[in-house]
Amino acid sequence: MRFGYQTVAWGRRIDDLESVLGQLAAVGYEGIEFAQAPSEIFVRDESNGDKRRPVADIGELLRLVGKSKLELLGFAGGTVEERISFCGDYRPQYLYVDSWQDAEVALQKDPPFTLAIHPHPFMPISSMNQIDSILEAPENNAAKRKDHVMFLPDTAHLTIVGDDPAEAIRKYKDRLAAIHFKDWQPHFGRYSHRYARGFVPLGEGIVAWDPRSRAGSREDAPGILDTLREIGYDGWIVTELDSSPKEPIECALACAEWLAAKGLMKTPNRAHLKRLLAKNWPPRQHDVCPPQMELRFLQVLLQALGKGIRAFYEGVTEAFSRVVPSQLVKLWIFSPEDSRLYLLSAKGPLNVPQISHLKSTSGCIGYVARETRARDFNLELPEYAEHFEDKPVLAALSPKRMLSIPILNPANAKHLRYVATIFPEKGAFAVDSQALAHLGDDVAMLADCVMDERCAEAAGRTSYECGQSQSKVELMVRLRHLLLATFDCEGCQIFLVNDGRDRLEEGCPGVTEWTAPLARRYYRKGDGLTGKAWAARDMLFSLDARHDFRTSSGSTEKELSPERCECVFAPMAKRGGDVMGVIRLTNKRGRPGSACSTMFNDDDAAVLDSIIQAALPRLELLQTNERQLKALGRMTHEFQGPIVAIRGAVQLMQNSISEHGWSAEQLFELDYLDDVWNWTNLLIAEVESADIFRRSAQGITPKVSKTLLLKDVVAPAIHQVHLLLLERGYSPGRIKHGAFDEVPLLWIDRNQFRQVVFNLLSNAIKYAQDKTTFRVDIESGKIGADYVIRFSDYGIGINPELKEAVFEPGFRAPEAVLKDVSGQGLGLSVVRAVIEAHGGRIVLTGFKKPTRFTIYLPDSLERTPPKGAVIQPD
Amino acid sequence: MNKHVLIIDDDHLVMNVYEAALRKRGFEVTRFGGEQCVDEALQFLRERAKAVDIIVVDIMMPPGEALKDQDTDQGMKTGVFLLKMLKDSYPDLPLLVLTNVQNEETLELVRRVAPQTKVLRKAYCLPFDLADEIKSQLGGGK
Repeated sequence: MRFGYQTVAWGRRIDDLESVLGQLAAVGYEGIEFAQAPSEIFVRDESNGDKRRPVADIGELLRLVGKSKLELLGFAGGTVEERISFCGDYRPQYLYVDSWQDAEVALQKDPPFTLAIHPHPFMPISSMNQIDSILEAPENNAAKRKDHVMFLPDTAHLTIVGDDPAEAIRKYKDRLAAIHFKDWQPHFGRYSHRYARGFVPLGEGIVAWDPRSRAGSREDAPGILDTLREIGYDGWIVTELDSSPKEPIECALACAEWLAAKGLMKTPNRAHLKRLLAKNWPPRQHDVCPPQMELRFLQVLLQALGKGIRAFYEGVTEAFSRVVPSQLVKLWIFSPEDSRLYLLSAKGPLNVPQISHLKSTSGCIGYVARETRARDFNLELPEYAEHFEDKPVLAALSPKRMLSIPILNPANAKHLRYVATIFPEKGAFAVDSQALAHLGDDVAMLADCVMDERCAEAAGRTSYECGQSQSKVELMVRLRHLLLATFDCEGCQIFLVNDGRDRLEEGCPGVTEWTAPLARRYYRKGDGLTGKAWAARDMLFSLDARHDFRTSSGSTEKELSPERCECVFAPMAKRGGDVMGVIRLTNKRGRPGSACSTMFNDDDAAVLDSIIQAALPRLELLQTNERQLKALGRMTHEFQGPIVAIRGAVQLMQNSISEHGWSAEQLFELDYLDDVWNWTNLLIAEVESADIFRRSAQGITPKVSKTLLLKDVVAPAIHQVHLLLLERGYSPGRIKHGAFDEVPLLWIDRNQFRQVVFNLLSNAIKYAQDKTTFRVDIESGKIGADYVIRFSDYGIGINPELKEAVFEPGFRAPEAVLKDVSGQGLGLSVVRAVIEAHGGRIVLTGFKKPTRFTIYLPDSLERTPPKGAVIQPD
Repeated sequence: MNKHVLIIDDDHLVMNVYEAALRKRGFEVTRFGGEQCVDEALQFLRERAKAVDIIVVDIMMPPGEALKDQDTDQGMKTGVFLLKMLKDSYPDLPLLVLTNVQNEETLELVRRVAPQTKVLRKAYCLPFDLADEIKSQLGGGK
């Protein structure tokens, strides 16, 4: 196998070809594929003081490539006509084509070019079905053309559309022009400013380089690397990395090092490369834009920084209008999903109706997407109006010609992010479009900073808000408020995938649960986005009047599109993880008086993704907690059966004894029955405590009846701890209580309160120092509008700093651990949950000798049940 | 003639002791507790409903053929639907619910389909307590 590199990371233009060639050769590559149009490849002109000039012709290019001991593999940049014309009579290894129309042009040449049919997501040829239809078409499969119509698979592109790259390579092993090695990480907001379609360094994505398990099969699916070894592939591997914040050669080096780690390439010599870079690193060329113009432009733009994204958009139009006096300047954002531009900001003498009209304006960019240089549209108004939908505004302004300035992703020359359109007062010809293109690069870089800041801020706020949530419901409510505020939109719905284990309780507006199969059924009718894309968890898709949502069964889903509105859907999925839900935002509001679009755009997607990524860890954690609580619920339920059976058996035996009058000896042995009975009392109390703890996470519903505290609660609870006392040799008489005369019948859940008293008493017993000092006093009284119950014990005490922590679930005092006192740390959390469910509170009012817990219950319980309680018939 | 108690509960371990206590107190007991307990009990009632004086029903049970199409939440709410069927088909037969289910949503459903029916919790209603409760329901006092 031989390894080449594609120059996409160098951006739209290569400033110094010889330096790039030298660097790639130093890393260890043997071939080069150009991602730039031939006219964008610049060389140093020695005869002109080393100024840059475009490479003269194919002859010069081949000479320079050969000088670096590299081989020219092909061209991927510029139009196919441009590339063919540049090659003249020369035939490179292959000609990269991603549309059939391009292919036909190249095949008509004599001799024809060898085509490398390249699948590209969102391009006419994207999947293996389409590749099959081209390569297996009778005319292309015929001996005469077979060698000229080859396949150039891209490992990442095929993964994105759900095809298996290893299978594709195996299928066309005899017709491979080369193989593009690229990795991909599924990422919502795929076109977001930084990630440039989610392409990541080799080995960091989900492309199946190595074997992986296959659903429904015991055999692993073969990986790409094994497949190449198996078919004995000895052709070209072209690696590339679309985007990276690093210098372009760093991308090439990262790919080479991964290949070396896999034993495919020689380990690159970093030290040598470093020396080479120090010597040859070309300074960036800034000679295309007059410095004064750039300074004026940046001064305006810098003032807009730090004031939010809308201010930045407005700053861009303001800055352009300062350097080019114009009738109208507009900034658009490019939506790769539908290849349209959506207005972000406009600067011009606009009146209110015009502003209102502009808000819903979108434009068709057509060839601008492919032709990424700044250019004069040179359109007459009627023709222009076909592309941009703001005819009434233009009619009023009577513009002359328009200039369009593409603003590209700094990390990816092929990724158009924004377009500025300008109607210069003096006409377009008077303006240096190259200079404006340079200003476009400045905008792109500053936009990166603004978006980084915006995403980081959104993620930080989300982490804080979500971190406060104690339940899934609360998390969803907080997340929903955050989304509404961040995007200033009218509606936000969160659809959570219900996997059958996690159900949201009712009462969470805006949050709906779907069953997982239902959620997975959704796909967008029309271009590109299918169930497969959902499965790939990579989508930003919007819904407006032009699109219908349908389920795969064909029925329109009302839940999903209850009304026709502008909205955006975002899958809640960790990068590469399962879809946990979907967020729908509807009707973004525009700022009054501003011409900013109310469409959701790619920048919103990047922020939305940051929010989702920051919220998901908490959601996962809470779901795990919920599962654990469910498991606890099942466990407590399972325990209850055997306890009831044991108690039933004890009751039967006691009944027999009393009926038949057994001998004294038998009666003595059967005293043990009392112990069994008492142990079951303890077991019931522990199981109850666990059960209340489980329910407290979702809010306890007390089942109340008129209850006498002493008779129905305190006395039975003391009876329940009887065995604990005996076990430790403590005298039951050392638990003293008053007559509770002050406390009348109260509307409380007697079982839950019995649990409260049991937990407090069992703590006092567990943490007592010895049998001589063990003592518990239970007193009652009335203070103001509260009935008060006070528990005092004389055990090891509690550190005052822990007065709040002791009520947290799972908290265990250090002394408890040292004393090896058994327990799960649930007791006091249960106590607090029960008391609060009754509208009361519990406070630690003494810390040592006595340790004192004081319970305050509102005297309203005398007359009315607590809020939300269920009345239990006596 | 002894009063006849029909028990529909798949929890063998627990119901053995309840059955023993009820027999000791002089009740005739018929118990259905297998996977098909719901179907078998309904079949028994179709043939001998007149011979039954009271029915004791659990909530969590396999739904059987009779309730397999109902939303029993994998058997967690079988008793709710069974109670409704029994109420509709045998409106004069007294019913008792004996269960360990504490899910408030499920208990609310029980109250809705059988508002007059007493719900007893196994943990606090021991075998002889059940016998006493049945006696009181059938008008015999304790």
